[in-house]
Amino acid sequence: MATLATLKGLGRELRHNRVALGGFAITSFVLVAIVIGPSFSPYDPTLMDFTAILQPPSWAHPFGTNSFGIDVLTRVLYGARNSFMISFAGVSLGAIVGTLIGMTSAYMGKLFDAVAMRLVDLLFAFPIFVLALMLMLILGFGVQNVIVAIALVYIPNFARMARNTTMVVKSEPYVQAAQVMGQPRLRIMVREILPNIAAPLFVQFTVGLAFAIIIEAGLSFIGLGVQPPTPSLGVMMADGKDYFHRGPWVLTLTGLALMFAILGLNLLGDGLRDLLDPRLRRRSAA
Amino acid sequence: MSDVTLTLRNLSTGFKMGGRVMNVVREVDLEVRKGEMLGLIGESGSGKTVTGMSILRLLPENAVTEADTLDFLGIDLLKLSTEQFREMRGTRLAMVFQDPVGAFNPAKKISWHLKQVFERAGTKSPAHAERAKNWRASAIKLLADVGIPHGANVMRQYPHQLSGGMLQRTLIALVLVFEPELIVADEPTTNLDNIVERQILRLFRDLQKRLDCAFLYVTHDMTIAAVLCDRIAVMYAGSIVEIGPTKQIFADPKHPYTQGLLASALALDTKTERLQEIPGELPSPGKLPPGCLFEPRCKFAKPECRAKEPAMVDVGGERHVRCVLYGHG
Amino acid sequence: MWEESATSAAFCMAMVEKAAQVDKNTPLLSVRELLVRFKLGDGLAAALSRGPSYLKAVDEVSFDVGRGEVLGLVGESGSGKTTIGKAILRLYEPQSGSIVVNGVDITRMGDRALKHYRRDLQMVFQDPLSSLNPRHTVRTSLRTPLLLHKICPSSEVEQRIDEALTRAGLSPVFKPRYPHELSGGQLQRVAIARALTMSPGLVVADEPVSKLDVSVRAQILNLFKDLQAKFGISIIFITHDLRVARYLCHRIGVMYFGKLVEIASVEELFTAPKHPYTKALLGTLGAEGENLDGAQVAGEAFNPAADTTGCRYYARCPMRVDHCKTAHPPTETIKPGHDIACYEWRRS
Repeated sequence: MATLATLKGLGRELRHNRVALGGFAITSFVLVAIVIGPSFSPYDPTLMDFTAILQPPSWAHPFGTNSFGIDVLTRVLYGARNSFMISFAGVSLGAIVGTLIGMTSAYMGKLFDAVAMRLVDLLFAFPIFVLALMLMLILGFGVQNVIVAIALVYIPNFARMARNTTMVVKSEPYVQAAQVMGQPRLRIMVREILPNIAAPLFVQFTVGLAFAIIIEAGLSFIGLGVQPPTPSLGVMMADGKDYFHRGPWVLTLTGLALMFAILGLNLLGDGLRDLLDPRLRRRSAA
Repeated sequence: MSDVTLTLRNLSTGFKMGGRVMNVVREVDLEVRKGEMLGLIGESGSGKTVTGMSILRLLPENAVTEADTLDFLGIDLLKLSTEQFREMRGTRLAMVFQDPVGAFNPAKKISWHLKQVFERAGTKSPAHAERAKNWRASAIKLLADVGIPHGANVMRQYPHQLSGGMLQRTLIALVLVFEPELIVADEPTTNLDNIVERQILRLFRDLQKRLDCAFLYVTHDMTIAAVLCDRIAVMYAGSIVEIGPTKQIFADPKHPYTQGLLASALALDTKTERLQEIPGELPSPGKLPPGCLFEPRCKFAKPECRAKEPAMVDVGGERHVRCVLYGHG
Repeated sequence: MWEESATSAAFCMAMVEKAAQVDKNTPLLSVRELLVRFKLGDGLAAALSRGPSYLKAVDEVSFDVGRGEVLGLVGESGSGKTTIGKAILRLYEPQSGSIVVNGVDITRMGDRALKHYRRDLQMVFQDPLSSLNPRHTVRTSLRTPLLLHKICPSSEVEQRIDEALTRAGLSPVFKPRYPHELSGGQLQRVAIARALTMSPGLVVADEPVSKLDVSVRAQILNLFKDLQAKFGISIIFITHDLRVARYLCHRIGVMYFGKLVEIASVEELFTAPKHPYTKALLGTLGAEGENLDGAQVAGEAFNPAADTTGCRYYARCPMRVDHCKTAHPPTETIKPGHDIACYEWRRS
């Protein structure tokens, strides 16, 4: 109920924030395209057609065809859907685990906090992509492991953010009131603290999703992630680079589609950050 | 009326909120005279602080201030450019804030702050230039004036090493360097403890006797106003509802709101069995009641009170009340 | 109408029964030599210097609160009065000393065992807006304790919420509202209603009117007075305003930098104060101009980080003698119910 009211308020404010509105529009467009787009396409994303190899963009094939004669737009839609789902699963997992660690760390303090946060620091010390790469080498290739790698990359981010915000919220009188009332710790964390730290985590999620798509594309591009013929943006770009001089549209248009989706998510994340940050937001109720 | 330092006529201030202007100060008429301490009394949201800030142009960018007259010793403050106004603020018009900590640079010693101010004041007149030259001696004397006997020691310290009371005294000293003609003090004792509060109030009273400047003292506390102010203006929901000499207002409050405020302020001074309440709550600036703003809480409310906001009525003896009980103006 | 008075009568009966269960003579709350300290300068800088230093926010304070008694704790900011209140509710862990409620020592009790005693000890906070979860409606905030402690069958929850609000002087129409939609006075009424749903024996009220508007303060003070008289609750009323304490309290304890320097009944404290600090505080009362000159307190306040020996009030005290520098004076009972910590009280 509380979240519903917040979302309604957010919708009202979204209209006044052009960045967020633009991001919202692009992201919605991308989501609609990858969810219902493939079912409108007359082509199959994996069926080869050697009569139509590397055709430039035309009315029949708006993004052209690739070296196996498959419609690039269809593959982009399917590929983007896969990339999105993998990233979403990865960031969700990272968000859930990270938030749990962060909140527990802040709420329990002492030894748990010290150990958990040093581990988080350790993960933070690696550049994100190198970390993902290393994890893939340890975990092995494949979709599931891409998800786990993305999750592991994002756990420190969410853990740190959840810990910091929990630290602030936990000294609020309403949390003390819940303690005085005798509410168990777990309940206080879920019912009193979580709803009040959800907003920044949500922003982090949106921005994280954008970067996770890049990680997924990157891993698949170098052959560590999704394996062909399953379409994914990274796999397609890897294909496209091999015959870039003969069919530049494959790599270029796939890359532009990727850029478009990420731009949308980043704009949305930035806009939401402004909307949800009480310091940047003009308070309607003083 | 050459002794009037500041004249406000029909001052209104609002804030732009999502495309519309929400007025928090409406049609305020005030004058502050030379050598006088005028108390501006009101609760939170009554517009008392915004009134003070409007005079000194210290409001955020989304604020809109309008007035027929905003006259300071013959200078039309509305016509001054931002540059000209900044030149006057701090030198001729000064402000003492609720929180003195924010007024100091935490990385610099007290002496640095005093030196800066003396040097800036040095350009004002030859006498000031003379003082700027011997700024250290002048500073110690000034600190002694505001009740800091060991000025030399204090000057060696950083702001965070001083207590709230000492810091507020130091801030007052800084303000006094320029010998401003108008000092606006906004709840300068609210963050201080009882005993220190009394000391600062005593300092204000001494200053008012000694200096020949005009004071606008903004507070929510009637008992402070009783001790300090020559005249009181009571604000409610953005309007002045009563104005007059302190003694008369305390002896015979006219407006029902003033009566309630005084009763609840003074009730605690004696051992009582039950406090007198003003029922209800302050209206929010978004949804003001029609007619008299105090009508929903007023025990004398009549149907006509809802019709339109009453005008200020002159009830004699320099007293004005915005209430239909005393006629229609 | 009939139902309402019947249920509130039942509520009163429950309170009376509960009070009767334990021996009338033992105090409801008894605090002995309570010490709460906070670490100053945590982290690397402290580790590199000479280890963490501590601030004794509450320094060996003892007092009792009787059944149906209102005890005022008065002091300036930083005197430790809020810390005492929160330590009693186990929001801060005391370093040493004991907190005994109804004869049971809860000082070191674990969360699970403590839950049964939580109902008995409630708190009303200074800032009403932040004491209610901004994401919960008034209904949710009031329903939580009812369900948590299984105070009534779930079919009666709505009715109980209405009663609680009505008792605190609010209409049940506020139930679906969020905290930011309410004014300060209304929020404080919700917070009071929430505390009372658990029929506590003791309520710690931490400056509950200092953030409210002047015209609303009297309403809330009167509400405290009415509810206390009606239900016979014990209250620890924390305030910096002696006049508020006089209005509501039976006894008043005066705090100065972590020490309880004087405690006595209201009449005694106001007519025959003994501690020089109490006298200075009393000197600040009154609206008349001459009182401005009454409170002459010389010198700077006690510096808790630097000064460790001697009477805390030494630097400001007009009656100080050399002896006062040796140690903080022990608490002595000069009359039944009147304790003081001062070497030189006889001179006053």
